[in-house]
Amino acid sequence: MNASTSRFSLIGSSHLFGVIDQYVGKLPDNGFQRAWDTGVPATGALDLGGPPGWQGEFVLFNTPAAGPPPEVRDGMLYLPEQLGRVLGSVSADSRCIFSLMRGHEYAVASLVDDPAHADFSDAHGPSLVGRRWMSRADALAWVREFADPIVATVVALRQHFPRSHIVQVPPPPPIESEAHILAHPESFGALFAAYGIKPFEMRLRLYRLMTADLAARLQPYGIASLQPPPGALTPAGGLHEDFARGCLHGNHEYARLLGEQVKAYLNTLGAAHASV
Amino acid sequence: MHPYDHQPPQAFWRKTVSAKAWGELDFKPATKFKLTPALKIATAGSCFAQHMANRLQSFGLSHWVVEQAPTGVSPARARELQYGVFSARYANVYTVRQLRQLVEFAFGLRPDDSPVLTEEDRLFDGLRPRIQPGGYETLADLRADRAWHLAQVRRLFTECDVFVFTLGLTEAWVEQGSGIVFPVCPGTAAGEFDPARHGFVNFEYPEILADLEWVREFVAGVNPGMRWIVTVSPVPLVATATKDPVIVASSYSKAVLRAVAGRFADAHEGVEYFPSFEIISSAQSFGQYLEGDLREVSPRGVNHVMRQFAGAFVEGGGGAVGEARVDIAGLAAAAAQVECEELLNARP
Repeated sequence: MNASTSRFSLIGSSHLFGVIDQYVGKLPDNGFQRAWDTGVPATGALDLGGPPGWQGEFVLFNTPAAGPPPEVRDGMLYLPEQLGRVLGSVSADSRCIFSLMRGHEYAVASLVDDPAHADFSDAHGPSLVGRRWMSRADALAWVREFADPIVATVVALRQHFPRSHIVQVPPPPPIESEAHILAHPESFGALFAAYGIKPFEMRLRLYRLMTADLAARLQPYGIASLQPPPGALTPAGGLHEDFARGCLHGNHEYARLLGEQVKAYLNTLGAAHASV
Repeated sequence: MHPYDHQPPQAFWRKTVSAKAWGELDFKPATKFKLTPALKIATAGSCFAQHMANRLQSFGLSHWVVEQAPTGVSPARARELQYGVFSARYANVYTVRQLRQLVEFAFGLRPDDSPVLTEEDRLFDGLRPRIQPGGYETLADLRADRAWHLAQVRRLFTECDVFVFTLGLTEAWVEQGSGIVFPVCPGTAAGEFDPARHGFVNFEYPEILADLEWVREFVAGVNPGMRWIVTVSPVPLVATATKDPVIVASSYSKAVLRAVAGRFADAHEGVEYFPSFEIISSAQSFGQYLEGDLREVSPRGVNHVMRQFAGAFVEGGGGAVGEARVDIAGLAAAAAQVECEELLNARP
């Protein structure tokens, strides 16, 4: 890379699929399967069509290949070696790294209407009538059980690339259409059959709580957070089914809007930066 | 020949109380029914009732906790929120009138306009002032939690097999007008005392018995098979609002409750009385189960009560309960966990 070009990277697992569909296409040499089978991340060029002076790359990995979830305990980062190897697949000179890592931890909690789950109130409204209630503080403590690995993973990225801009890309908000979720249950079909799908309002409340908390906890590390692309959302704030892939992810159209967000963010950094 | 010739040994003081060690006396030689692991056993009552709830599982019985902590709440936090302390999160139900109004609220027999106490922008359920430490942020939160709670209470009384109720107090504070009874005097656990709104009552035998009969009859209408075990807490009052010295007021209160419990059990085939009060509070125990404050019951005393309970109600005496080594540290820790809002009446 010449000195007048900056590199940016998108690293992630399943949340990166839509991006690869939209901007890369089928990976050469059966790259996707190889990454999943061997645990060695698939990497390649990522062309978002701009902004000028930037050159992109993707790093796609299978989450289990990154080892057990890292932890931040008492201010100390406990990092599995496997994650270190995965992060090592990001180009060392990457000036801005967008993390789409993890996020699957809250999938079951956010989707399946386990009767032991409770609702809570937030600034958008009260808890649902007829639902077990819990305080927002208790809900946050619960949400952190599945948000903590995300925080630790992105902090690990920060540690690996101390001179890079690090940006957390949240998973898409919950899909509003239950019909779409039922039609695309992925591996949750049996659980949906047993318990049903958690009402959209509850899923959205959980999502908002988690993403707001994530952003607040990452900010002190100098890690920015994006918001989900507004164009992919329903008026209520959920993911429109036209932008969904399966029951949890964004599709190539979502990725297109995300790509615009990435470009806009890179523009704020300015182009043509000396090598980092 | 006279009637006493046919009485069993337990009917004679000289053959039993005078002749045996306190720990060897059988306080409940026969029961109308037994408890088995398959039964859903629910608990409620004063703070002493928490010991019942704590120990049932150690006899191989099921303490049916109908109101479970939400997913994601740690065991320690669940305990703080009083999940599992009793079968539902009603906290201590000290008076029979409280039990009656709980049933009335749960089954929609009175509108849920229960009093709300406030303290520094936080809201407290007047009928469960310490159920949510620190209170609620909004009235909507308080009402949502309460609605879920009452739905669980409804389920409890509709489905449970045996209801163990410990009668605790006759003294209470009521909201003038509505007649709603508070578990503790407003201003002690939360909120402020208002002499214009909050009145003192010392319930008497007829009305306590009438309340208990009302609850039994109502619940029998929705759950005809539910049986009762009633007992009287041996723990004296922390403080009295009467003119009497607290020990005199306690004697009155316990005597009334003991009489109500006995009458209630005698009147119904599906109701049993269990003598917790006698095991701990009889003069013949020489106060051996009292803690240093001469009020609280020691873990050893609780153990005696529950050993008798298991011997009476559990086939085979609850397994090795009688012979089990007493984990004093564990019992002490459990005792320290007992939530007793009444203590707040004596707060300096």
